[in-house]
Amino acid sequence: MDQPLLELRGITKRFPGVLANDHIDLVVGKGEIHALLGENGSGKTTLMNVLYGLQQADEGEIHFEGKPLKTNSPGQAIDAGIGMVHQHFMLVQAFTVTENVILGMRSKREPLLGLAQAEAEVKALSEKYGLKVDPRAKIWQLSVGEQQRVEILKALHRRARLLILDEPTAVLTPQETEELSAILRSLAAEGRSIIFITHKLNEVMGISNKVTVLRAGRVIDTVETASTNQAALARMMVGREVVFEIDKTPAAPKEVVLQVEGLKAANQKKLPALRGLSLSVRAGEILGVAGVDGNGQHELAECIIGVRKAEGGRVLVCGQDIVGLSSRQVAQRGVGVIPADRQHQGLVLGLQLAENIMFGNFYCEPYSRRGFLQLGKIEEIAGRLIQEYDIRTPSSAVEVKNLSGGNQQKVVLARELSRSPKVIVAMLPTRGLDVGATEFVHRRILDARDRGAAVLLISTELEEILSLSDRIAVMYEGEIMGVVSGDAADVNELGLMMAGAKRLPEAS
Amino acid sequence: MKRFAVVTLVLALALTTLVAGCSTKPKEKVLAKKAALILSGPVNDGGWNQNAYEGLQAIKDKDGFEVAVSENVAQADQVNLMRNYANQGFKYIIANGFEYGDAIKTVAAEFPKVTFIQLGGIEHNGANANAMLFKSGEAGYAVGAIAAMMTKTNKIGWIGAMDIPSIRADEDNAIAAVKVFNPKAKVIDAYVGSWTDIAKGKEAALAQIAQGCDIIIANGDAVNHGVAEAVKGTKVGFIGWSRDQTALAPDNFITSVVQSGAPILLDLVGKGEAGQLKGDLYVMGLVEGAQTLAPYGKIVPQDIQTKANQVLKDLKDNKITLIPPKGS
Amino acid sequence: MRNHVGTTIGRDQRMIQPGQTQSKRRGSGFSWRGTLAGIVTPVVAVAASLLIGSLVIAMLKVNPLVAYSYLFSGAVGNLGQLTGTITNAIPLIFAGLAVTVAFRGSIFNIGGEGQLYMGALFAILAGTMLKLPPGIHLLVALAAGAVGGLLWALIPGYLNARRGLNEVIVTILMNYIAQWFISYLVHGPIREAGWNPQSRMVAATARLPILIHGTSLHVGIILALIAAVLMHILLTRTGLGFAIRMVGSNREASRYAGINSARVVILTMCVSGALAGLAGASEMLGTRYRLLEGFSPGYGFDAIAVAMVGRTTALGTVLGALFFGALRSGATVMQSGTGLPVVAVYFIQGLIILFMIAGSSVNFFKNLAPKKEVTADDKSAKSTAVS
Repeated sequence: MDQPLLELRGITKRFPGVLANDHIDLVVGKGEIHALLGENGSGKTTLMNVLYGLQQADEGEIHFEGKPLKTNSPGQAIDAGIGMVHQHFMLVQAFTVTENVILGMRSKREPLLGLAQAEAEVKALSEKYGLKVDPRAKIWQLSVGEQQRVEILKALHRRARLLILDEPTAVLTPQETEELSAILRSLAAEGRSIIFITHKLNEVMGISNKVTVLRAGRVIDTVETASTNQAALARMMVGREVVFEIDKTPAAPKEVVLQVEGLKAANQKKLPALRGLSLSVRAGEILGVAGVDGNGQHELAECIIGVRKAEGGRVLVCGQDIVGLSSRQVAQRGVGVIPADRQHQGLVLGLQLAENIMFGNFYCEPYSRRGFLQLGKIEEIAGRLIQEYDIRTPSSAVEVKNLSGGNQQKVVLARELSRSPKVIVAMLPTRGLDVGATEFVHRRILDARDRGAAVLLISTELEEILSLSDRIAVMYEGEIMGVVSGDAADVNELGLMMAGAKRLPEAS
Repeated sequence: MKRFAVVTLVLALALTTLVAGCSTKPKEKVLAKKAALILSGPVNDGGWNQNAYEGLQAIKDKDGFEVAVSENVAQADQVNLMRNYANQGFKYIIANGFEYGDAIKTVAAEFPKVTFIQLGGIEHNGANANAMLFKSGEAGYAVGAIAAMMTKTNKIGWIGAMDIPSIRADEDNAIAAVKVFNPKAKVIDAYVGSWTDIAKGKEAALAQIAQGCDIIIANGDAVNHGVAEAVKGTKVGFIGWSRDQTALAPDNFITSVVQSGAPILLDLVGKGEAGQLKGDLYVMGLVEGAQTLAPYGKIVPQDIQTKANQVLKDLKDNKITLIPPKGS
Repeated sequence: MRNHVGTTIGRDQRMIQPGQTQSKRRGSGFSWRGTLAGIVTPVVAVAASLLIGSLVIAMLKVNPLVAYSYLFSGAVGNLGQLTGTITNAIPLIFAGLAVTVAFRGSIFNIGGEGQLYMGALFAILAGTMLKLPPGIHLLVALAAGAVGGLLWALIPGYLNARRGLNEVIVTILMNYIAQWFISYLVHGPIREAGWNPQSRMVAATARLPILIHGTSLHVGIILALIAAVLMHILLTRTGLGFAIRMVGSNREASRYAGINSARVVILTMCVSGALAGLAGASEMLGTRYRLLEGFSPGYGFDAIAVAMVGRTTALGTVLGALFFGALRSGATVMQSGTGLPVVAVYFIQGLIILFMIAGSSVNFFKNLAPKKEVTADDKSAKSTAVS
C-alpha cells in the first residue's frame, strides 16, 4: 500500500469536563475497510464528527490524500471527498431517491434540476455497486436498509473517496447487514476507503481489514483484523482494570421476586427482539444484564415495566403475572424504573423538580387528594428528597432542564428509590455521567439491594456490570447466553457470549 | 393562586370603577344632519355593500349630509355600534342587510328620535324603524324573458349566491317568464352558498355549460366574477346582477340587473327630512329606479332589445303578475 | 449525546450546602422573573405594533394620534364602548381558554371556530325548543352549548390519540364542516318561519341576563371569569391539569410514568371543546339570541392569538381577550371617526401576533429581565446548555 488516504495526527477534542478525544492517531489506507471499535462514549463518533467537519478539534491535524485538510464544515469535507452516513439518516422523506441524492448539489443545467440526467447517474451507480433502490421511490416508502443505501449513493454521487459509516448495522436486519458488507467490499475493491464505527465484535471480524480500538478517548491499538480475534478485541475494548472499586458487601439473596419466563416481544420495526427470554432476580441481589446495544435489552426493560406489549411468555412479580398490565399498574405492584434516556423517558425537562419527583404518582396520596394536588405536601417531599439524595438545586421549583446531568439522574433515583420498590429495573443508569455522579448512582443502587430490592441492571458498559452485579446474564439477539456469578466472571468469556460465540449450557 | 385571586380582584374593581364612573346615562343629543351606514362586508365588494355605500355618498354630495361608515361589522357588535352612532347624534342609521333586524328592533326602541333604515329587510315599527326591500321577482322576470329569447340550446343556467327568499323569488319569476317566452327552454339552477366565493361561481358555471346551457344568469355579487371568468372565450351569454357588469365579459354580456343605492337613499332620506318616514316597509323596484337593466351587450339583437324593453314597460305598468317571495 | 457530557456537581458543591436547598416558595410556577418576562413581551409587542401601525395610518393620510384616540375612546371611551369591549371579550375568553388548555397539552386546537359554531347550535336548540323554568333553562342551554363543542372536539381528539391523525388538519377541516352545516340548518331545518335564513329567537328563560341596563354587557362575563379561575386551578392544582401538562411536555416520559396519554389527550380536547362551545353558547344566549350564518367574526381564530398574547395562562388569556375585544370595539369607532378601513386594525392585530411569536421564541425579553436568583442553578444551567 502506497501513501495512506487519510492520516489523523494527535486529534484532541475536549468537552467541558470530558476529554472526548485524547491525541488520537489514525491511518486509513486506500481501499481499506477500517473498523473503529469502542464502547459508547469512547470517542468514536466525536472523532468522526471532527473529521467530517461537524465539530472542530482543539488540537491535531488531518491529512487527506497527502495534503493537510481543514474541515470547518461538512461542506468542506464533502468537497475534499469525504462522505458520512449518520446513524440517523439525513433524508427528506417526501422527496424521491434521486431528489435526495442531488439535494444541496449544484445542477449542471441550472436553473433546471436536470432530474433525468441525475436519475440516470443514480441508476448507474446503484447498479454498479449493487445498491438496489428505485431512483423514483419516495424515501418514506423505503425500508431502513434501503434508506441507508440512499445515503451511501448520496456520498458516492458526491465522489466520496472516503466513506464514514456511523453504526451502520444498528438499524439493519441480519440480511441487510449481509448485503451491506457485500456493498462495502465492492466499494473497497474499487479503491475507496471505508471507516465504520461499531461496537459489535462480529461485524469487525466479518467486514473489516483493520481495526482501531478506542477506549475513553484514547487509541488502545490498531491491528490487522486477520491477526486478532473477538476475545482479544473485547479485552482491548473494555480494558482489564476496573476504574473504581466499590466496597460491596456480599449479597444476601432471598426469594425470587422478579421472574421472566419465555418472554417474546418485537422491536419498533416489528422484528423479533426477545426470543423466549427467561431470567429471575431474587430479593437482595443485583442481576446485571450485559450485552452489546441493540440485542433486546430495551425491549426487555420495556416489557417488564409495561410500556411494551409482550407477545408471549410471562413476567412474574412476587408470583403475579404482570404481562398486559399498564405501566401504572406495574408501578403499583412495586416495580421502579430508571429509564435509559432520562431526558426523554425519566423526566419532563420543562416541569419543575418537585413535579418530576411526583411524576406518575400525581394521582395518589400524599401528592393529591380528591383530584387536587397537595402543593405543600409535594414541596415538602421534594425538599426532603433533595436533601436525602443530595440534589444540587436552589429550589424545588427549578425546572429540571436547568440541572446538570448528574443532578437530573438523582431526581430520577430519588423518585424511584424513595418508593422502596420491590423490583428495580435500571437501564444504563450512569450513561453520560461523570465519575462522581456515577459513584453516587452505584452506591444508591447497592443500598436499594441491601434494603431487599431485586435489581435488574441493564448496561452496555461491562465495567459497570462487573462492579455491581451479584450475578451476570449476557444477552445476545434476544436471548440469554448464560448466567455467571459476579465474582467468577471472566471478561473474555463474557465477551464471547456478548458476541454470540459462546453459550453456557445451563443458560436459563 | 393567591396572586391570581388578587389580580382578578383588582381587575374586577378597576372595571367596576370605570363602569360606575361613566354610568350616567348619556342623553340623546340634538340630531345633526348626520347619517351612518353599517355594513357586514367591505365597501368595495362590487355589489350589495358597494351599492349602499354609493347611496350614502349620494346623500352626502346631494343633500349635504355628514356621513360615517362601518365596514365588516360583526353580528355581535351591531347593537353596540348603533347605540354608539345614536349617542353621537346621528339622525339616520342605515343598516344594510336582513341580519340587522333584531338590532334595529332593540335600538330603535331606545332612541325614538333617531331614524333607522334597514336596506334589504323588513324590520319596521310604525315609528322610527323603516325597512326597504327590492321588489323581488320583477328583475328576475325581465332577465328570464331575455334569456328565453336568446337561448338556442333551450337551456338556461341560474346561479344564485344564497338560497334566500329574495333570490328564490327572482328565479321563480325568471322561470315563469321562460315559460311564456320560450316554453321549450328550461332553467338549471345552482346555489353556491356564498356571496364571495369566486372559484365556486366559476365551478358552477362550468358545470352548467357542460350541461348545455348557453345563457347563464348570475345573481351573486363577487360570485359573478367567477361566472364571467367561466363564460369568457365561449359563446355562452352572461346576465349579471347588482351592477353594470359589462366589463366582466364584454363579448358575452347580455345585460345585468342594476341595483342602485343612490335613488333609494335619496328618496328615503328625502322623505325623512320632509317628515314623511313613519316606520313603513318600502318596496322599491323598476318604477322607483331602484333597479334597472344595464345597457344591452353587443350580442343582443335589436328585435330582442325591443321586446325586452316592452317587458320592462309592462312590469312598470303592473301588467304582469309576479310570484311573491316565500314567507313574505 | 452532547447533553450528557457536562458535569457541574463539583462546582455546585462549593456554592450550596445541603440543607440550604429547600424552597421557600410554593411550587405553583409563579416567579417574578417569569411574570416580568410574561408582561414585558406582550407590552413591547403591542407597543411596537402600534408604532408600525401608525406609519401605515400616516400613509393613509390620517393622523395616527387622532386615529389612536378614536381607537382608545372606541374601546373604553364611554360606558357603551367599555361594556362593548367587555362583551366582545366574553366569547374570546372562553375560546382563548379552550386554546390555552389544549396548548398546555401540546395539542393545537385550531378548531375553536367549528366547536364554537356547534356550541352555538346546541345552545340554540336547547334555548328555542325546550320549555323550562327560568334559570334552569339557561343552565341547560349553556350545558348544551358545552356539550356541542365537546362532541365536535372529541372527534379530532379521538383521531389524534387513537389513530395518530394530526389534530391541526382535522380541526381545520372540521371548522368548515361545522360552518356549512350551520348554514344548511339555518336555511332549512331550523329556519324561523318568515323571511330570513335564521333560527328562532332564544326563549327569554334561557337568555343570559344583561348586567347593566342599556348596554349589551351580560352575565356571560362573570361565567367567563369563573371559567378562567377554574382553568387556573385545573392547570396548577389538579392531578388532571398536571397530567395534561406532563403529556404536553413529553409523551414518552408520560408513558414511562404510567400515564395513559391517549386518554389525557382526549380529555384535554373535551375540556377545550366544551370551552369553545361555551363561547358560542354565550354569544347566542347573551348577545345574539338567534343563530345566523357567519355570526362569529372568527372568535375561534382570534382565540389563538388571545391565548398567545396571554402566554397560555388563564389570567393572561383573560387580559388578552379584553385587549382584543377592545381592539375590535375601538376599530369600528376609529373607522367611523377617521374613515380608515378596518383592515388597518386587522393589520395591527397581525403585527401584534407576529411580535408575540418573535418575542417568545427568541426569548429576547426574558434575557433582559433582571435575574434576582442567580445561584448555582443559573450557572449550571448555562454550562449544561452549552455542553
